[in-house]
Amino acid sequence: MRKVFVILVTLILASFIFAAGSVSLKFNPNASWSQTLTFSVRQWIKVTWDYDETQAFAIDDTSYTATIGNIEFRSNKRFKLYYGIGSTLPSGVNVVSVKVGSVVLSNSSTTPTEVSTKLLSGVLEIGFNSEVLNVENDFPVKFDFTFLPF
Amino acid sequence: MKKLKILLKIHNHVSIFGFGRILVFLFALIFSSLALSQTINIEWYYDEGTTFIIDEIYQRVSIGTIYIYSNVKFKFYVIPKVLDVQGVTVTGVRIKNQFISMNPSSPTIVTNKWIYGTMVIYFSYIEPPEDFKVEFTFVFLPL
Repeated sequence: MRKVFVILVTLILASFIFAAGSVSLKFNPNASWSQTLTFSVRQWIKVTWDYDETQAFAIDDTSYTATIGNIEFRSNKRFKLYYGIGSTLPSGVNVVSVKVGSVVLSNSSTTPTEVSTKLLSGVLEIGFNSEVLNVENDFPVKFDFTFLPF
Repeated sequence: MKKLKILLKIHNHVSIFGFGRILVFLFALIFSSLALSQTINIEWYYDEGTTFIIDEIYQRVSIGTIYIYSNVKFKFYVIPKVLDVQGVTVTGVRIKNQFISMNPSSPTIVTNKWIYGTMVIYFSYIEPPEDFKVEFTFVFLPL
């Protein structure tokens, strides 16, 4: 009998401890209780590219740009993005611009490119500095795209 | 020996963890709940301050466990009010496997005096909205 009481008390106390919140209302003649909750739809990004990423892309020797092919960034909500360049570039060579269609992408995490239409698509175009003309061998470039919620 | 026994008895009686104290506490608890006639109690086991992530495919979200109990049979309904955004509607509020009425003229009847389970909210929208708030007002009536 004593054990039952102890267990009962423990259960009552436990229910108070583990509950995130509790209210007790009197019917007068009815009772009402409100709670406001915040909701968010999980965001996704879909990247589609129409080019063969393993082929070598030629750099134009007058504009120092390489036209890669079509790329599309699509999301269910507005998003921001910026790019980063990996450390595979030959010495002296820099990527000076990355464009998708007519949109110049940002490479800064503090001022990312804002895509308020949920869709960014077009031809991916990479601009290099003039130093690229002095490079004799083919070289790889690693692009890191980071997406942020709007 | 007798003195010692009496001493022990007194000690047991005074002890905070003594059976007598627990009994008194329990009776106090029962009497206090009886004195407040016709009450409805709600306990929720989720952090109401957190942001709940809606499943895009099913357009629903599981909130957490809620426990509603009363000392009388009761009926209730819920009125969800979407704040901040347009084009989003709450199509259902479910506790365990029972959808709660959203119509004041035909409330959900609870004859066993309690309802317990995971609360799930169902939404309907065409365009995924930005983060938004919903105010849920539960109205309880004695049966």
